This record gives sequence, structure tokens and C-alpha cells, in this order.
Amino acid sequence: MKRSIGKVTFHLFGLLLVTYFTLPMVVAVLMSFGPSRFLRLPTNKWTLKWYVEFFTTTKWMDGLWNSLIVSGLTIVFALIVGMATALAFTKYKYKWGAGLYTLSLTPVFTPAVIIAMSLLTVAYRTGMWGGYTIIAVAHSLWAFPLVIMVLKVSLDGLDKSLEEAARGMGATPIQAFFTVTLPLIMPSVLVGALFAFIISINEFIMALFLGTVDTETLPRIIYPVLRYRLTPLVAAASGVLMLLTVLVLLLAARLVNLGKLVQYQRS
Amino acid sequence: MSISILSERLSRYNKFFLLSPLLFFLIFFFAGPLLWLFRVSLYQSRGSSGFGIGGADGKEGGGFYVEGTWTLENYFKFFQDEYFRDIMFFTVELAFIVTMVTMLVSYPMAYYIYKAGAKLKTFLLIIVILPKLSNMLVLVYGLQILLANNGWINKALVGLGIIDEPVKLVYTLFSVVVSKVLLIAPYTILVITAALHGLDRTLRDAAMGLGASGTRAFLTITFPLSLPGSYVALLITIVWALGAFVSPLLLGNPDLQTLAVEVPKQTFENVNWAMGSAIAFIILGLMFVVVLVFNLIIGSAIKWRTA
Repeated sequence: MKRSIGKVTFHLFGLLLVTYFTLPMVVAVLMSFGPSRFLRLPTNKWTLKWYVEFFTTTKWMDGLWNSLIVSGLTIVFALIVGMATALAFTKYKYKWGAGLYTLSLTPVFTPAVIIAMSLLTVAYRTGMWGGYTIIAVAHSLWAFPLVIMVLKVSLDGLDKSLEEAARGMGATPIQAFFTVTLPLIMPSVLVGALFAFIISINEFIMALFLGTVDTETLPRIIYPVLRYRLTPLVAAASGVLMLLTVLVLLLAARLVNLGKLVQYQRS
Repeated sequence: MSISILSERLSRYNKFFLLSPLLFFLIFFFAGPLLWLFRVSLYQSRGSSGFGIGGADGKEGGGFYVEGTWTLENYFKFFQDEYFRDIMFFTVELAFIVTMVTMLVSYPMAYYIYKAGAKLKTFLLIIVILPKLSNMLVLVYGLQILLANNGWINKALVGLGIIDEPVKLVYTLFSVVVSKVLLIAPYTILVITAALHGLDRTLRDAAMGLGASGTRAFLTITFPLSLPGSYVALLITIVWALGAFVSPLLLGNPDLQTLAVEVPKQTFENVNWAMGSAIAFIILGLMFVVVLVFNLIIGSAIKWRTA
């Protein structure tokens, strides 16, 4: 009897936390389908008018477009850095290898405000302020550590003899990489790219510091509305972001076993 | 020169060539900017005070800070001004509350996931990752609505008879903590879950085989062994909590502001980049100090236990 009460409490706790983790998002998306301009949850009337307004307002569409450009660049930067680093650490031993590997993951643990402010001072000096590149650079600081982790898992699990066989049959290292290794790790490369996309499209603080009127990303446009005059248009913008994120996440889940990844990332 | 020597040379070249993108990013976009941030914090600021509009007279460069100066006045101003000191104390206070709540939420949840069957586990993992991958502004918006006076939470509490009339939940310490925990907990839960999965299951089975109850096996075997992994999660939580920005800004009130909020305020509203940089650097310093203190405490605790 005592045991089953404990079990029920345990499951109730689990349920409570699942609610805590999902309800805010669910509510945000629900709001976007309601007709009321105020903070009232829709009950029986549903409308798409906020989405129509979103997709017909130049400002919001420009924001979406800027977001997509920045996340595209982020994917490129994160993949270049992440792939090269993951390959380097699986193939070679370095004197300061362990330290450097830890260092390569530190940016993801650095709060956005610190990264944003320090890059702002540099962007101002180098004339990069006001461009897409510096925002993408900031976002890739959070994205490439994840790409490294994802690719390291997949490269470590790779059968080394395959590439050796290719080399033995006369392939150059580069040929062996592009014809044998790359196709085998392609799912993980794609997952890395998808993570980079999700991080970049949703990131707000760095975009706030480093963006300007010309490079405003979607979260940066949502922010003042959220702070000063809450309208369901924000919810529609949130809905669009959520939809993009979930679609990409489903794609990622199809490509690799997420659970396996979590269990690997022990240290 | 034979081909093999050439290939070996190429390979050695390759060994460092592959690291160059990482080093480029770490040096020019991470470590370098942090050093430059420190430099900017040592410029003389233009504004006459930390409040109101600073003297943004020149357009290019002139308005942000005074070129060519070296001074510690921003740091002096920070530590002498009660306004900044209060914010700093609140930042640390909030970080401790958030850290405690995050760990109290994360550990049981991680254990729940660890115990769950394969299918439920995948589902729970996805649910847990979701807030981390979605936009934090979306979460804040959802919480603003949920916690409002006529929101679901208040309605449920009134309906259940726990309270008589709606309580103010939004724009309070409660809403700040709830949102910040939601932003950090996905990560800590994953780390602790991974730590639990990394444990040798046979140890627990052995304890139970020797007659220990489930609770006892957990308290004497599983829990102590999962502490190192949980400690990593704890440190990350503190670091992130000290950098809290969105939660206090959008779900707090003027009395509940953190240093991170003060950074863009000084930088953009007061056009005082030197002060903004100084505060960002002070946050960084706080993180180091707190992590160091924790390491010392934990280190001596381990010594005391094993002695």
C-alpha cells in the first residue's frame, strides 16, 4: 500500500512536470487562433486572421526573411567548424587535446549577454555591425559545439577499416573521406545542421545586441510587442517559429536516435 | 622523395589544418572579443552619470566612449553606486533561488526518465528538450497568459478552493523563477539522466540482492554515485542563472532586475558602452567567483567525507 502511494506521487510529479514543460508553448500557439485582441484564451471561436496579418505585413515578413538568412549562414559556419573539429579529434591525438576539446564546447555554456556584448564591441571596431555575418557568427558559437558532439558520436561509432580499405585500394585521403566517411556520417551532419538552424531561428538576445533595423530577425521584432503591447500577432509569429522548429525536430528524430545521443553525452 | 613521406607530411599538415576553423572562431570570435570587452570597459564613458541619456554628441565613435583613455572609473562607479550594488545582490540572490529550484525539479525528473520504459523515455526526452529548442519569447508569452490574473493557473487555484480570489503571479519573483527554471531545466535534466544511465546497474542490483529496500538502495548506491554528474549540472545552472536576462526583463518588475538586463540598458539606452562592457565583465567575474567558491566547498566536503 505504502509503495503504491509512492508510485502514484512519482507519476503525478512526472505528469506535473510534463505539463510545466509543454503548457506555455501550447497556450502560446492556442492564442494565435483566437479572435480576441486581449489576453483571453479562445473558447469557441477560431480564426486565422493573425496569421493572415503576419504573412501580409512587410515588417514581419522581412523579419522572417532575415531570420532565414541568418540561420542559413549559421548552418554553414557551424558545419565548417564542427565537422573539421570532430574529424580532427577522432583522427589525431593532440598534446592539449582534452583541454582544447573542453574549450571547444565552452561557448555553448556562456550566457548570451556576454557573447553578445563582447561581439558587439568587436563588430563595431571591425565594421561588421549591421551585417548578417556577425549575428550568424554569434549563433554559430552556440551551434558548433552541438555539431561537434553529434558528429563525434557518429565518427566514433564508425568502422575504421572501411576508410582503410578505400585507402588500400588507392584512394587519396580526400577521396576516401568524400566517398566513404561522409556518406556514412551524413545523417549526423544533417542533424547538426538542423540543430544549428533551430538555435539560430529562435535565438533572441544576440540578435537584439547585434542586429540593426536592416537585419532584424523575427524574435527581435517579437520582443517589443511582447514588452509593450501584447497582441495575438505575437502568438502567430510564435506559431510560425514553433512550426518551423517542430518540423525540423521531427526530421531530426527520423534521422537519428535522439535517446542514444543523450546517453552518450555523459561528460 | 618518396610518396609515403609526402603523404605523411600532408597528413601532419592536415592534423593542424583541420583545427584551424575552430581556432579561428575561438580566437577571433570568442576569446579575443572577451579581451576586447575588458578593454572597452576601461574607456572613459561619455555619460555624466549612469542614469538618463548619456552625452551622445558625436555620431561616429564619439558617442559610445572616449577614445584613447584608460580608467577604472566605471568599476568604481559600479561598486560605489547603491543602484548597481542592489542589482548585483539581487542577481546573486536570484541565481541561488533558481539553482535550488532547478535542481529540485531536475533530479527527480531525471530519475523518472531513467526509470521509465523505452517508449515513454523517448517521449519524455523530447518533451524535456522542447523548451530548450523553442523560442524563449514564445515560452515567456505563454507564461504571461497562463499566470495572468484571469489565466488558467489562477482559475484552477480558485476552482479548487485553494485561494479565494486570483493572486498576482505574473511580474513577480515567482514568474521570474518559473520562467528561468523552464529555460535551464531541460539541460540539467539531460545531464543528470545521462549520469544515471552511466551508472553500473549491477551495483544497485547487488545491494537489493543483499536485502536492501528500493529506497535504501537508491539512497546508498544510486544517489551518491550520480552526484558527480549532477554537480556538473549544478555549475552550469549557476552560470546560466547569473546571466538571467529574458525572465527578469519580461516577467519581472523594476525591483527584480539583474545585471544582464543592465548591460543593454547602459549600452543602448544610455549610449554608454564602457559601462555596459564593465557590467558584462562583472557578470563574468561573478560567475568565476561563484564557481570557484562552489568548487572549494565541494572539494572540502569530499575531503571531509573520505577522511
